[in-house]
This record gives sequence, C-alpha cells and structure tokens, in this order.
Amino acid sequence: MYSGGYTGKILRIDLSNRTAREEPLPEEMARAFIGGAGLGIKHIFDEVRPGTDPLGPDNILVFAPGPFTAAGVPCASRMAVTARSPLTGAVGMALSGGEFPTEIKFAGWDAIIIEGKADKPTYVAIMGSDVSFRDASHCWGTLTFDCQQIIKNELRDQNVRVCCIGPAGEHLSRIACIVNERRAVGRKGLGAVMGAKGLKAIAIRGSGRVAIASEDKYRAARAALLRAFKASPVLYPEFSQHGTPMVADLTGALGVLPAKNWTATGEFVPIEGIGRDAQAARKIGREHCHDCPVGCGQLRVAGAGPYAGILTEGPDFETVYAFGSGVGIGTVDPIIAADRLADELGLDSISAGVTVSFAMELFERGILTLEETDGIDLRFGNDQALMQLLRKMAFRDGLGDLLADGSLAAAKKIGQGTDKYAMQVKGLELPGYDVRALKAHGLGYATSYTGADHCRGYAFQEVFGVPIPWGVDRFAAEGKGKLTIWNQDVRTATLDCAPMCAFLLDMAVPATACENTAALMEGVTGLVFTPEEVMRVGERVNNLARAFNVREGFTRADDTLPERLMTEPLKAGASKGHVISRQDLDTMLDEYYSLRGWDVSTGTPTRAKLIELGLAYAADALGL
Amino acid sequence: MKVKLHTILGLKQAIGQGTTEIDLPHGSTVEDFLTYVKERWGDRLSAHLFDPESGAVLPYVRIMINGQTIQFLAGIETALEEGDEVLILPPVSGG
Repeated sequence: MYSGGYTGKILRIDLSNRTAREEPLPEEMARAFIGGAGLGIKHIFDEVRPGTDPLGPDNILVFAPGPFTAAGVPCASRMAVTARSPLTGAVGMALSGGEFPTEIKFAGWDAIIIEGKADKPTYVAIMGSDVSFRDASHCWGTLTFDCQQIIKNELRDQNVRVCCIGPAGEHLSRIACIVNERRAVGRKGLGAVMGAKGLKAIAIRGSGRVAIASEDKYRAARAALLRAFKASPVLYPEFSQHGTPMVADLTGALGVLPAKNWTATGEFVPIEGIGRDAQAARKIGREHCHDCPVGCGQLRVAGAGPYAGILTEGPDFETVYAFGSGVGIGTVDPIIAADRLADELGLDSISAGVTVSFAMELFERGILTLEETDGIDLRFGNDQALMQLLRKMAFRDGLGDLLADGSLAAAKKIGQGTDKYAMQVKGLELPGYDVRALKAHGLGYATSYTGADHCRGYAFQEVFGVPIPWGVDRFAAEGKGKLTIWNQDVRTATLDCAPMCAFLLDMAVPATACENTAALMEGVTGLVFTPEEVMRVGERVNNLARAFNVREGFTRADDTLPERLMTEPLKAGASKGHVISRQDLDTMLDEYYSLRGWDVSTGTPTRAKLIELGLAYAADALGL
Repeated sequence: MKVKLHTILGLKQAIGQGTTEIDLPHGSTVEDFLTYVKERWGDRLSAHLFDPESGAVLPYVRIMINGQTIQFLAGIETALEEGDEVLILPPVSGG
C-alpha cells in the first residue's frame, strides 16, 4: 500500500443535494493511473454515461492534483481538471498550476469530484474536511479576479485559494476557462461546465502535510531532478528570465508562427513587436507556482497608448500567437491588455483568439458584413475590435453570441462552407504552431484525445530540435506515428498524471522523464515502478481516453486537420512550400494506429490491446 | 557567392543584427561558413556556438539551410549555394 504522497481520500461533492462525502483512493487506481489526468479520465469513463450532456447535471468535473503535489517536489503544484468537454464532446482535460493544486492536498484530498447542479449560484468552501455550500448570488457576474478577492474577504482569510469562472462561464460559453489566482485551466470549455452547474467558485484551505514514504529515496530523486534543471542550457538562463514568448522568436524564424487565421504564416512575422525582447521591455517581475524554483510566470505592464498600466501575468507564447500574430496584431501592449481581459472574463485565450481570427477572415472575405458584426470593423490587426469581441463573447452580446461557442460552432451557424476557415480539430482551436512544416506536431493535433492540443503530444524534437528519443526531419511524414506515440505517452505519464510542469520535459528531463517519475514515485509514495511501467501508465490513459471518445462516436474521420493545412502550401519564410497533405496525414495515421494496436480503418483500440493494459472493462463497454 | 545568416535571441544580440549578408568563395561548405563566423565575430559569438574544448558546434545549437536542419543534409560538409539562407538557432524552449 502507498505510504506517502497520497492522502488516500477523494472528496465527492453533490451540488444537487448539497452533500459532500469522502471516498477512498484504492491502491490499484493509484498504481494504474498515478493521479492528475489519469484519475480524471478513469472517473469520467466510469461515471459519465454515453451521450451525457456536457452542460447537464450528469457530467462530472474532477479536480485532481497528484502524489507529488505539496510533497516538496519541484514544479509539481499542478492539477488536472477533467469532464466531458462541451466544446468537443470528447474528453475535456486541462491543467493549471499556481497555489490551488497544493492547497487541495493540504486540505487532505487526492481529488475533488463535483457532480449534480446547484439550484442557485453557489460557491463551495472546503476548509480541510469541512465543506460548506455558500450563496454566490453576489459573486455572479463578477470578473474572476474580483470574485477571488470577494470570497477571500468573505472568508476572512487572504490565504484561501480560489478557482472560479467569469462571465464567460456563467453564460455557458463553450470556450470558457476556470481561473485560479492568475492562472487558468484554459482549454476545452471547462468553465462552462462549472457555469452549468451553478458553481461560481471553489475556495479551499488546508493545514495538513503530505507524508513521504522514504526520505532518503525522495531526497535522492529530488536532487537528481534539480541537477537536471541546472544542467539545462535554457531552463534557468533563459526560461526563468523570459518565460515562453521566446518561442515566438523561434517559430517566427522557422516560418511556422501562424498569422491572420493561418493565411499569412511566414509573411506576417512581427517579432520585433511581440517577441521576447518586446515582452521583456514590459516586465516588472516574476511569479512562481508553489514549490517551483524556476518562476516562468512573467508580470508585465502595458506601456503605451490606450492600454498603458494594464497588468497581466503573461502573455505566454500561445497568447502572443492567439491575440497577436493570429489576429494580425504586431505590438505587445494590445496583447497584454487582451490577455488580462480574457483572464478576467474567463475565456480561453487560444480558442477566443482563433475564433476572433476566424471572424476577421470572414469579414475580410465579405462573408460577414458591418451589419452582422454590430458595426465593428473586423479587419485583421484591429486591436479595439479584438477587445470588443472578447467582451461580447463572454456576455453573449450580439455577434458575441454567435462566436461564444468557438469557431466550428459559429461556422455551422453561418454556413456557406465557412467551416473550412475554422482552424480547429474536433472543435478545439489550433495552438500556435503551423504544422504544415512540423508533421509530428500535426499528427499530435489530429490524434490528441482533446482535439488540437499542443500539450498532449508536443513534438519538441521538431520545434526545438531536441534529438530525444531520436532526431527527426520536421518536414517528413515517415516515422512520425511512432514518435507521436512516444510523445503522447511519456507526456501523459510524467506531466499529466504525476502531474508536473509541462516545461520540464523538453527543457530538463527529456531522456530521463520516466526514470525520474519512477524514482519519485518510490521515494514519495512507496509504490515501486520501473520506467517502463511509468510509460505504460501513459499508454493506458491514452487508450482509456480514446475508448471514451470512441464510445461518444469519434472515429478515424475525426482525426484530421483543417483543409487549409492540407491544401495550401506555406507561402513565405523558412518553411515556404510545405504542406501537410492528406496523403501525409494518412501515412502517419496508418503508422500511428498500427503501432498503437488500434484498428487502422476505424481508429478503435482492439480488445487485445485494452486487455493488455488492464482495461477489459473498456473493451466490454465498447462491445469489442 | 552571397548567403544570408539569420539568428535570433542571444545569437542575434552577439552579432548585433538578426540578418547579415555574407560573401563566401564558391563551393564553400557549412564548415567554411562556421570558420568565417568564428573569425568575424570572435569570442562574443563563439561562446554561444562552439564547445570551448573540442571546438565542435554545441549539441543544442541548430544550424539550418533554407529551413532544413543540416543533420538531414550532409552535416557540416553541406555545400552552400548562392542565395542560401543559413539559420543558426540557440536553445529555446517553452510553448
């Protein structure tokens, strides 16, 4: 039995009946899924029946940190939040850092499961084992930062940690996020799941400690991890000083920074205005998640024009893309302002930005007229239009109502073949890497169980040139199925289930991630894993997530990319002429399914594969 | 023949500009190009690019010709041609 790391307890909260009860965390579940995304996906597979309305009372929302969270392991203050996504209908899983995940463990819980629906706006206060249901009528309608402060004041404890939704989640925008401190459970519309449950916020405070199974083994594993941090040529020298925006400089140089709804990649490359140095000029400080020695969170203040004085933590690279190059904006201050605004409204910055860029392309093509845009000039580069649309989307006002559920839903309402301008996979908008010249990254977008998600199978071999487990030609399709499986499984096990900060894998521990996780598991929890068994957890979770999606009707046909990426070669820059053709995608998918042990024609896991992974119940559920 | 050198971030700061045109003899290779770079910019750039003991390119530095990593061409023996764009990338991460 585990003797550290885990508290052994899961808190289940029923909003319909206003009850809370404690459940045990069985050892076999900890061993099979570790925690984080693994626990979340296991619970939604078992408890969310096929066809469940993601915005109905029967969807559940699982907040799961992991065994290393609050145990003193660096970069492990992370939690996965999992539900059936209202944006995609598939597994919705997203992670966040900050302080909230650690506080869940201090309060004594390995996970919190929210079910049912409150009959009036509610927030739940979890003070250790004491759970109370509180009226949130006075918080309903507030911005996320205000809401957190209102609740802290009300509970008379400024160290209470709060996660909440903003107006976007309240209005059931399917691209709404959940905000904790200045961080976000950003993607897949999980904020709308909270909104649909009438749950404005969760406040949590604890005073417990996390036990360590073996101090000696824990210290050795922790020291090895910290040595890897120091050995990285980029983690402390660059990343802790500048955060993620340097990726804009890199993707700009590679010719893969998407621009103007992916019509001008390689042509509109405003690095002088939005890259690392432009961001550094606005920096006033750094923020660290709990137990993080790196501190990649950069506090920046807009410095000029109508946005002067606006503070944000960020913008991170993805926001630099989504509110910058993606919408044709080439200066830093509007991006800072939009980042802050999206956080306060509770909107996913990637999906919101890409949905705005979709609308901008339709406007420039004459498909949307001034009359239909509420008089807003939606040409690319209009930062005031971006701010206006973000507000309208969060409140479902006018054109915002059309766009509030993301680009694919909007395209379906508009018709006229506009779905080909919606840059999404399975309904989830594309992150900021033009995969026409990063083909494993493209296969990752196509096959991720959450839709187009750079965090589920990040091909750092192609983007950063890290030759682990092997070096790859970013333009080639061959061999990318095998690489993508490696990227998905190692990331799922060591970053999503543990869970730990995503930036560790490509920067500090690419070759030793599974060894590190195995060593930490033994030291912190007492559960003995080999590195291969850690990798197996990643494979198991990806298969169970796939089984969930298959049960909801997803097939190989959904593992695709926007038509533009398969038919329109890049027009300029260091990747000029490249495209990820239908044939490329089919080649990669065939290899991927075959090596996964899935049916190549349908993309469904085989019964043999599921049984091999201890998932016979999933095979039974699929009728295999 | 003329080729263009593109750099970013710390390398760009060391050189003083993101894009520089370089004149090399016809038939030059990437190795010749690197020798030229070492001589022209000296220690302020070499510290970012080369192992001080072996003189080899640091393992985390990427060199690309027209967008393709030289490992998938002929390595440092890759022949350069008029108008080629050479991209040298320092270690970057995040995303």
